[in-house]
Amino acid sequence: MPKVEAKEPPKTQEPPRELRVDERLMKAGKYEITKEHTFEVNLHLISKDNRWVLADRAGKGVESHVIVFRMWTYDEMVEMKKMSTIYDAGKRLHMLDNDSLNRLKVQRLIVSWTFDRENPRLKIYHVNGVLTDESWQAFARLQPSIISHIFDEMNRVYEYNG
Amino acid sequence: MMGDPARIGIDIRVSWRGGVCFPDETGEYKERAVFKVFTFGDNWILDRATSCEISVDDGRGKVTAIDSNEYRRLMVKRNLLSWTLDIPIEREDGWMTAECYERVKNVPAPLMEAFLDEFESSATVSRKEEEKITRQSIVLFGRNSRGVADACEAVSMFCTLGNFWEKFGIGKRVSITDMPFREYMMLKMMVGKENEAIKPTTSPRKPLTKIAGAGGRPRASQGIVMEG
Repeated sequence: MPKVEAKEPPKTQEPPRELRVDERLMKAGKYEITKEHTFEVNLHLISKDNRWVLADRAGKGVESHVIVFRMWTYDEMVEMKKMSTIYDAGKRLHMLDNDSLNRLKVQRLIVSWTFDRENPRLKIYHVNGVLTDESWQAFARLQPSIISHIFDEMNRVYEYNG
Repeated sequence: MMGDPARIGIDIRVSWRGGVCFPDETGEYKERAVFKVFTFGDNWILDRATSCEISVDDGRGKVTAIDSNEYRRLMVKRNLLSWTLDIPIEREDGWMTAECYERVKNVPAPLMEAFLDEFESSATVSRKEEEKITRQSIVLFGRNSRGVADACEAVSMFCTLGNFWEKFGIGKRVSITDMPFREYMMLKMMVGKENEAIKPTTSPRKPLTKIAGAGGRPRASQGIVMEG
C-alpha cells in the first residue's frame, strides 16, 4: 500500500513585531534624551600678559564665549566608559582613564562654540556625530587652563548631576 | 501590607533642568524603579556574559576579567521590572526586550546611574557591614564564645539559615540560584570567617602529652605519660 506521509503542520511562528506607524512617528518621551537636550558652558576670559585668564563673570574687558554640549544618554555613557576603561592585570582592577573619557565626551557631545565668531577657521565640524580631527585639534590647542575649566563645567553636568 | 521580597523599589529624588530629569537629593519630585532582587543566579549569568580573556605579559599569559560597564548595562536589561518613567518596560524570557531597550537607553545617564547605584548597593555588602561582620564573627567563633549580642544580619542569617539548611538541604527546597546575591555574599563571608577561626586548631600543634624519663628528660623508651 502506498504510504501517505503526514503533512507537516503549518508553522505558526509569528514574525517579529514591527513598530506600528503611530509608534514610529511618536515623539520621544518626556524622559528620553534627544538632540535638543543641550547645556552651555560659559567662559569669561581676560587677556593679560599675552595669555587668557579666566574671570568668574562677564564685564568690561571680558571676552565671553559659550560652548554647547549635548546631554548624554545612558547607552552613550556606557559605550564611552567601555572605550576608556583599561584593565590593570597586575592589580586585577578596571581603571577608568578620565583623560580618555573627557576626550570622548568632547569629540562626541560638543555641539558648537563661539570661538568661531571672529575666526571661521575655528568652526567645528562633525562627521557621523563625531568631531573631525581638525576640530578636535582646534579644541586641543586651547590654553590648558581653559580646557581644564571646560572639563570641570562639562563634568559638573555629566558626572555630578548639574 | 508586606512588600514582595522578590522585588525591590528604588526611590530617587529628582529635579528638572533644561528639560532633563536629574537626580537631586533636594529635588521636588520623586521617581521610582522596581527591580527584581539580584540573585546568585543573576550574578552567575551576568558574570558569564561579560567575562572575557585578556592577554597579559606581552601575550604570554591570559587572565579572565569582567567588563564592569557591560555588567551594569545587563543588570538593567535583566532586573528592571517597572518604573514611573513614561517608557513602558516590556520583558520576555526574563530579559528586557530589544525594542524596549531601544527606548530605555535614551534615558539621561545620571538618572539611570542613580537608580543602578542604589540597586547595586542593595545587592552588595557595604564596607561598614563587612567591618561589623568581622568584629562579630571574631566573638562568635571565639574559643569560649557564648554567642553575639545584637547580631548583625549576616551573623543572624548564618546561625538560623545554617541550621535550617543543615537539616533540609539547600538544594532541595531552596535553590541557590534564587538566593539573593547579598545573602549569598554574607553567608560566604561568614563561612570564610568560620574557616579562619577553625584553622589554628587543625594546624599541627605541640602534643598535649610527652614522654619523659626519670629526672623529667624526654626519652623515647621507658617513659611515663605526663600532662603537658
